[in-house]
Amino acid sequence: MINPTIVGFIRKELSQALRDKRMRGMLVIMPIVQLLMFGYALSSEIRNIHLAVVAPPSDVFTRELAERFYSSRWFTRVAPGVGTPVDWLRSGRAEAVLIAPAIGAEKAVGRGSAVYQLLLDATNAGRARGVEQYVQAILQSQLRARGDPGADSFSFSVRTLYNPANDTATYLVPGTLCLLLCLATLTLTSMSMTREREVGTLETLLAAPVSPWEVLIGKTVPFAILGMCDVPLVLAVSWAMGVPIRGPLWEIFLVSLVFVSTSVSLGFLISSYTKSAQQAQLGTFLILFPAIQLSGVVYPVENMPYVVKLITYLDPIRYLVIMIRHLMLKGGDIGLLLPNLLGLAAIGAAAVFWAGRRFRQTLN
Amino acid sequence: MKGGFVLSRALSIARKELHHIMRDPVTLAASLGLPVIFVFFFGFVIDLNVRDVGLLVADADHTRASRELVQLFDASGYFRTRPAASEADAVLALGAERGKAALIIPAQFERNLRAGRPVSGQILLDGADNAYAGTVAGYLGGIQKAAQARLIGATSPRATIRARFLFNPELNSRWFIVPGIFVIIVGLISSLLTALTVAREWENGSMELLMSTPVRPLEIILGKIGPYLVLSLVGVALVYGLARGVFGVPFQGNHLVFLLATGLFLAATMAQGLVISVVTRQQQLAFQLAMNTGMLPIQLLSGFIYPVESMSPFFRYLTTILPARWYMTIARALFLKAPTLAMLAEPFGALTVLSIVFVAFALRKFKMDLEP
Repeated sequence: MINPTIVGFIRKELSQALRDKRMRGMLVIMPIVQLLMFGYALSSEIRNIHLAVVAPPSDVFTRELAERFYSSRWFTRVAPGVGTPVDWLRSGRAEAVLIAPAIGAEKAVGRGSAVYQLLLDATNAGRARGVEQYVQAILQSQLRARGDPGADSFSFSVRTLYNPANDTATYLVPGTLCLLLCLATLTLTSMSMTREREVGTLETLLAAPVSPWEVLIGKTVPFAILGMCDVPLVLAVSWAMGVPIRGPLWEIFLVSLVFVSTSVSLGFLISSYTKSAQQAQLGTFLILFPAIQLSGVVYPVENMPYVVKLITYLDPIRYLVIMIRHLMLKGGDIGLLLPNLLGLAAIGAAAVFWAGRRFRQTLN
Repeated sequence: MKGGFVLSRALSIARKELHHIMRDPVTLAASLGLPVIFVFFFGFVIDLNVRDVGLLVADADHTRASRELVQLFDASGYFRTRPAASEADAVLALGAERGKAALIIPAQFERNLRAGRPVSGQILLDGADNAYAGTVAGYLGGIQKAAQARLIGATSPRATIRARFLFNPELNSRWFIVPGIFVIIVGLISSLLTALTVAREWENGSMELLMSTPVRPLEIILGKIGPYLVLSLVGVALVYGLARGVFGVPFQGNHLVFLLATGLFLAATMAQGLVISVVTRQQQLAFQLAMNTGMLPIQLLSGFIYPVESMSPFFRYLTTILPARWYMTIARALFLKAPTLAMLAEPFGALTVLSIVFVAFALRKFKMDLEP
């Protein structure tokens, strides 16, 4: 049985949200632009390492080595300038400086062994570690090419599963998609009740013969619908960018639906606690910012301190990220999906229940 | 009758705004408390070093050499190894999220080692989690060196490289994160607060009231933003103390330069907030825009986690219009690298130009909006 009150309610909210041309644009264009932007812009590969090589001009060994660096796709040539090598690093002109022995590596090798010094800007510790590895690997290849018996004969061959070409879009799109979905729904809903209160229509609403649950549904379902409209949109964009979608589509939609429902309930909850639009916005920021940080999109959850790891179980985006990444890149392992879906659903149910109770209190 | 800019009028607006802020504990707490809480929390939470990586080991050789290799992974402190029956089994386990990486040791591993042939162990990384895969790959270098020495014995190649990690010799990722999250949070909060305060004035209808007074648009805007600028600077000072006191991040640079850069950055982000509030004269939209344009790009494109250098050229140039990108460079350099002002010429120049452009644009937009 379809409740006419709720249908009317939903229609009103939808037309209210879509009346604004800019709002329509926001819902459609923003996700596409951002997805494209991050999919193509970001890279977790270490590239474009600004390397300066310092060696006496007669040093053939170092010149060959330098050629190896610059012809690989990782390094960018930086000419040694004025000042000391440390100054180049300090000013950010160079990220790494390779210094040959003063007599030149060619002569030093002839006398026995040459020791290079590699100065690295370790501001970004992880990147510095990666740069050192690349430099060492290229030296090894030079030694092997020269037939040096002392060259390393043990190495690792690394293969990245699910994304063998190290395609940036494949890495980042699934996670970004989750964030966009959350941004769109939570921000919309968190204003819904506050707006009524500010405009003064809340009293009308209270006086009207509607039950609290009808208000709750009428205030959340429209935004869930809008949020779900974004799902095929962003999936299409991801697909167009060449990101695989290996899991079944219906599972992706199911997962998104559970998430969107949770997200709008949380938004409703925020808006039921705030008295002004300003407070609602701050409240949203307070929830959204940590939720994004703890979701595992930008940095791994596994690294977080134990207590914080426990907190991440309260973060609905975290469950979504795990499931969407899995569904898009790997397929649908039910043993993985089910606990995460249940966890998300539990948070959603709690949010709905709490919001309903909270709203009934407001009514009385 | 309406002359040029009169400071006293701007000051009275500022006084009014100050009263607003003081009366509204939420705003006050947001502008001072939020940056401190967020930087404190995320400074602890975000750790780019991974530990206890679940490593599935498919050893097809079962020799002393292969076991020694596995031991090296265990002893590194980064990995926790678990046996897998075969390569296929390991791949399956990765697919079911029962591990993050796999080591495949081929048959004949030891025999090839003995014979002096080049050997390799294959590493499979779970590419579904990029943040993780990159870090794990970073650990392989150290293990490769150890394995070379342990399995083959000390060799003496004719050329070696001795690496020195400057500015952060212990490779502490917090020193990278804390100045970064500082920039992100200060930027977000200042632009959010500005967008809100102007939008509120419109929504309450008090902007019309202000306009009917002899106060000029420029005075309104400076009066409204001035107090927030001061408030944000106090917030920055608190966060700075936190970074040094709690996280032990050194500060090598010049404090005056830092203050100057911070002022420029705040001017730019507040101007951004102002533009947002003008463009969308409705709070909901203002907020949506501030969130959408602010939260993700500032985190992902500013070089906070993903280095600008690694981006494709188009985006490398695109990031130059983000004040946060330049301020990030300056802040990190000042904290860790002790640069002279001349060394910071490029980011400083860019930040100055951006701030001027942003502020000029915001003022023009605001004036056009007010003057009929």
